[in-house]
Amino acid sequence: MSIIVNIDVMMAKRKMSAGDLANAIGITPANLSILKNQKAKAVRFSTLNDICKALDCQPGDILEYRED
Amino acid sequence: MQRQSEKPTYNLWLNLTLLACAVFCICVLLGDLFGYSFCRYCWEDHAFSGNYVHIFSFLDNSECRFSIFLTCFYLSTAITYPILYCVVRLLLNLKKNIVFDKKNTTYMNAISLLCLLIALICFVSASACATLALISLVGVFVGLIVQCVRLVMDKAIDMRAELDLTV
Repeated sequence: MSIIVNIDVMMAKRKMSAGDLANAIGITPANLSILKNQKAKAVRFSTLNDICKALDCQPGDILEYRED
Repeated sequence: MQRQSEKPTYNLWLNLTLLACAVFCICVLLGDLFGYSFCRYCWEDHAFSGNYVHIFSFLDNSECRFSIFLTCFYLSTAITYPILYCVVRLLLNLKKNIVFDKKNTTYMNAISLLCLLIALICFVSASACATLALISLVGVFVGLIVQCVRLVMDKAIDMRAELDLTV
């Protein structure tokens, strides 16, 4: 898959730890790790909404398309 | 909502199937022990020995055809043991609540291929005893059904893995 999740970049910009973000968006740290390590097969709109709200960013800041 | 594995009928069906496997295994063992007498008894019945295909001259000899019938019987029972092993392992996995697992589809694939192998042996032997063609048809039918269930299970495993990786 050539969709890259840049959530760690945004977390670094906002100086937010993984535990804090997981608490803020209401998912388990294990699921956040799946998202960070590019293992996720799908992201729910509600999760994306919560991530954008917690990190104060746009979906485009987190998701990126790269040619294979 | 009550989970499928917690329903009393779930374990009842599994236990019944395991019991049926044990009974079938004993039948196969007895069949192996008294195979010659059993085959001879069946052979005396005209339904088994009366019909054959005149493709080779040696098939006109009744004893030759009986030997093919006996070989087919023993080969089929030998293949039945790994089938029963796979069925029992599959049922034990279901009992342990391991349902959507790649091991189960491997067992189902083995069961299906071995059923098709028995069907092939029966089909080849049908030249000596036409009644075996019917058993061959049953073998093909069972093999294909198990293969279809395996494909459905494979798809379900993939869907479950995808669901697990949905955040």
